[in-house]
Amino acid sequence: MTEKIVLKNIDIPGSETIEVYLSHGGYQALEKALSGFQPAELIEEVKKSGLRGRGGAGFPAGVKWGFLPKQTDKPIYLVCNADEGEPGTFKDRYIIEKDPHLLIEGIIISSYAIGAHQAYIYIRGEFVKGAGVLEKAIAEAYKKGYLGKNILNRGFDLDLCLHRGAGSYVCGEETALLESLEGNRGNPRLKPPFPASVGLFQSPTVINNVETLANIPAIVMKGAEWFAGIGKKGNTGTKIFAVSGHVNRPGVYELPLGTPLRELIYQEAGGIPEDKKLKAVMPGGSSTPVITVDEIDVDMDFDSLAALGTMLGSGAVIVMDESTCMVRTTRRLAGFYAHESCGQCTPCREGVPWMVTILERIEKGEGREEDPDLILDICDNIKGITLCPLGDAAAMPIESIVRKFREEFEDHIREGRCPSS
Amino acid sequence: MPKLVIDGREISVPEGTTILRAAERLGIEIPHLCYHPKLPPVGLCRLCLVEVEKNPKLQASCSTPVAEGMVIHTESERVLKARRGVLEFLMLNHPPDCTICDKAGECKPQEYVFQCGIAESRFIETKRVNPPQDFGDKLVFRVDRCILCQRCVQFCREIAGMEELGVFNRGGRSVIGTFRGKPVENKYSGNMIDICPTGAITSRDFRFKSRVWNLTMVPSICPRCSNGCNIFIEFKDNKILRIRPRDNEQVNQCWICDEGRFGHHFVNSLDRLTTPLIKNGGKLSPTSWEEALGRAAEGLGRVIANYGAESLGGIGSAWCTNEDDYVFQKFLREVVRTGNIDLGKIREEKDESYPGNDFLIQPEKAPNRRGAEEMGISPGEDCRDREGMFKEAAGGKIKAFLIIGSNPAKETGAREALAKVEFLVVQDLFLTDTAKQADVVLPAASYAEKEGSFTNFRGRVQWLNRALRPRGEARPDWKIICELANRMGGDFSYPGAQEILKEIAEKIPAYREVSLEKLRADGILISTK
Amino acid sequence: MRLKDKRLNILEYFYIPPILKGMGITLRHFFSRKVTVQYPKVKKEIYPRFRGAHRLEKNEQGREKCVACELCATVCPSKAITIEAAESPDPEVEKYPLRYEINVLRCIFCGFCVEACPKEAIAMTDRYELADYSREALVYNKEMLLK
Repeated sequence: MTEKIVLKNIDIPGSETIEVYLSHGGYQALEKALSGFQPAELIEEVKKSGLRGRGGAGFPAGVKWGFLPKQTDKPIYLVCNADEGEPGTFKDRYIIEKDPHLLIEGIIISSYAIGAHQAYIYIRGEFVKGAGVLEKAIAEAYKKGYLGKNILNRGFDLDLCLHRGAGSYVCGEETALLESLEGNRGNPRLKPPFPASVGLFQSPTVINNVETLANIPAIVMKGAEWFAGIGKKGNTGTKIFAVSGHVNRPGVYELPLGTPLRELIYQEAGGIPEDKKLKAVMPGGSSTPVITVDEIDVDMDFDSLAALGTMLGSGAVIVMDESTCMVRTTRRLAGFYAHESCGQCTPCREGVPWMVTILERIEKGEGREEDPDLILDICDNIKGITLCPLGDAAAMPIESIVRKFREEFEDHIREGRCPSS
Repeated sequence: MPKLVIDGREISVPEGTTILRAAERLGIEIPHLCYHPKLPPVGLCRLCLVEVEKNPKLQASCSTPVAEGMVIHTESERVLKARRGVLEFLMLNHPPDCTICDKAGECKPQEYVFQCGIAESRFIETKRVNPPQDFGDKLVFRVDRCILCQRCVQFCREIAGMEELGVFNRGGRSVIGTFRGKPVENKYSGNMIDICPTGAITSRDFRFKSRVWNLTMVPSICPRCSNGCNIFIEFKDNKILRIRPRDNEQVNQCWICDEGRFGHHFVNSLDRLTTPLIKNGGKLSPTSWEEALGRAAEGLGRVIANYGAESLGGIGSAWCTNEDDYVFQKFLREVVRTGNIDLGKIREEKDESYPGNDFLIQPEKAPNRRGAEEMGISPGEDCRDREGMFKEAAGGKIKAFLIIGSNPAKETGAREALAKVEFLVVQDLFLTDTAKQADVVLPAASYAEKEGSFTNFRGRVQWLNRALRPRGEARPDWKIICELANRMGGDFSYPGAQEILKEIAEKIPAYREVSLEKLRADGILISTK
Repeated sequence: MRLKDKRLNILEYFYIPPILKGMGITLRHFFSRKVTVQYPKVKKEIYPRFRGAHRLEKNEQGREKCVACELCATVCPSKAITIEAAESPDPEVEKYPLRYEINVLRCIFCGFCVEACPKEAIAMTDRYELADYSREALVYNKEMLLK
């Protein structure tokens, strides 16, 4: 049993209350950070720990903090991205609902590190329970003096505000999130400028994922070397894997980065029901290219998966067994992205719904011989062309499925129906 | 100044210039739809993508600033593939109705698709249908032609200052619309016809009037107010069909107001005077120029002979060109020898409650008040101004008027005064209330039918080119005055308005810098007194 | 080098052989099939691609196919076509030709209008007897062209 960092408290009854959190060593990291570290030292410490963003892109958190302008007359903001909307992902929700104070402590330390005096948590609108828990936890933290003016008498001020989203997937994209937080329609912004220089309310802003921030207290408490010792080189620490689909024990598993995928599916998640054969796995949520059964001997970390042409993403492992119709899967996926496209830029707005109609046709048995190639070409015309990563998120998995399961599409087209139903 | 290479050609541009603007300087046009030089870049259409070496992704050239040492390809295989892809996406739900679309011929997507050589669509599905939208009286909005570049939305927000349009719904269901079906009411809405890259927003006024390639364009100046916006008069069969803005950074950038754009119908009006009229037995009837001019010269001459030159008054016009007004006052001062000269009343209008950004429209509803005054349309020493003239006319001291391009009969007191004078000559486009009282009415050419210059309220002198043949037998005002002057002992032999301009440059100190070449370019700002 | 003239015999000198040859041809045609067509009693066969007077085509609903795009007028080398477009009274159609005139006096029957038409709304018939008593009658209006 490996050591848990982020999920260490979730099995303790009442873990969401500040009393239980404090009795298990809560807010000690904050005391240590405020008393023992200069902000710049904290950034250095996080850089040394090798902590990479847990939201999907895997960008080193300390480096991201370092992008903030050294001199600015504008306020600096920290925004916690809790808009966990990626299909298959349900890790942040656990932290929010079970251990909100860990997140809050992480936010306070990070704000201190980057010099922010106002932080926001942008929480997905559907997380009604989580929002309630966080609301209460924030109130508790204010009462105990961990938030507000002169925190722990160290002269550091921080206000934390919870903002509920309105149910748009694209608001998980950081600039769309900022727009939404400002009160505008949640449309991604044109980059550059990047949020580190022009972010929330035109000010320098750091946006971090819930899990990323929840790692910060442990790094402060136990040190960067300890953290860097977990997992693999360049992929340090643990990762919460949200395993779903055709497995016996779906759920969240916190394991060191670099745990083999086979181990995650067959040991941790208890294998596939009825001992069916594995067909495909989306290793990091619905936006990541699939890997086939031949490829599952891969380590679950950023670099190993990238080498395989896919991504660790948010760590949402979606397991599909042999009974899955890949055409239907693709159509459902494309439908999701077509529905969630903001509609600003052309390739995503027009291309993704086009793929949906083609896939619907193939599923209904009205596909044409040239359709698989047409879909691949459409994907190629979307990838890397769109304003924000949503276009890539739609095109990449679809392209990988059509490439890797092409014969299944061709069967549908040839037989005029779904062969597996 | 960063140095960079675009398509193998080196260029240095100021810091902050975008790739698209830098390429423009080299004469390389990168296709773009959502970008407009006067609007902030939004990077939505994704058509302007270019390849920047060492950058794994294609970059939107409309918003990416140049950097030292950049090597850019605008026509590489990868760029062309992406461009074709984006164009294909844009055309998926765009109806192929160029045959009936007023934008055809000046439509950007049409041009780009043609350049790319995409003839067949790979889209066999049914095109998206969105409910129609009403944009009010001035604009026709065809939602299915819209490619969602959002230029119009941005124009309303950034330029017109009234947020009247927005994007509704999301993703593939996105549509541009007005709020709760409210019509578009800003005074500059017509510009959206120009900036819309497709035929989604077209003009109701110009609708189906002509295919654009059949129009002739002549550069001119808008006469609707004293701002002097640069325009193109676009006409066919000697009829103005539409007015469009002409770029002039000093005056109107690339915009004009709706009044200027749609208010050209008076030129083509059927009510225009087409022949000279003379009063016979209390009734005006058509006659020849010869007879009308003879009657006018004889009538004015009689009054001068009987009562002296100071019994004659002249009213010039802020609607006439500098050349018209110069010749007019020269005639009165040098031939008639009177200083009773003043300007007709100018309508002033200021909409204080207008919520938008009223950045072009001036309250003075005439193009050339300043120019007219500088040409000498103002009372000489010890002479009467307009009100004084009408007062003296009512009192019987002023016996004759020569009025060009104004309608004082609408003013209180003036009507009665005009009824009392012995002889009245009026030059105008229409049979105004003043003209109805006249003994001789001479049909004048409109601004579109003559050459000349206007001086805007800031003192910028700009040149009008002749677009149309004058309606009927109408003649430019200066020409009529010359004829009259020659019949009354003067020697006014100007071959054209350009020669009058030369004389103005010689005689009027403020205008000494003025020359035709300068006026035809961006105009020239005259030195202020 | 100098060329020497061929010496002609007496018959050749008086052009007798060519005269006989010509007479022979005349004689042969005297007995072969006649080529003259007795127009207007008899009319020549007209080939399918003949370009005669124009006709505007109708669709299934009996309305003109023409949408007044003016491509025919644009391509016309002799500027014989005049179109005035308007909003169609039919709610299903957007634009239609309020006025469509072909000045047959100007027309050179090149057929470019037919080629340019994107709607196949204009065709050329096999009618070629177009003479009339006035110039006005030779400006065909829409109603005439639709017949």
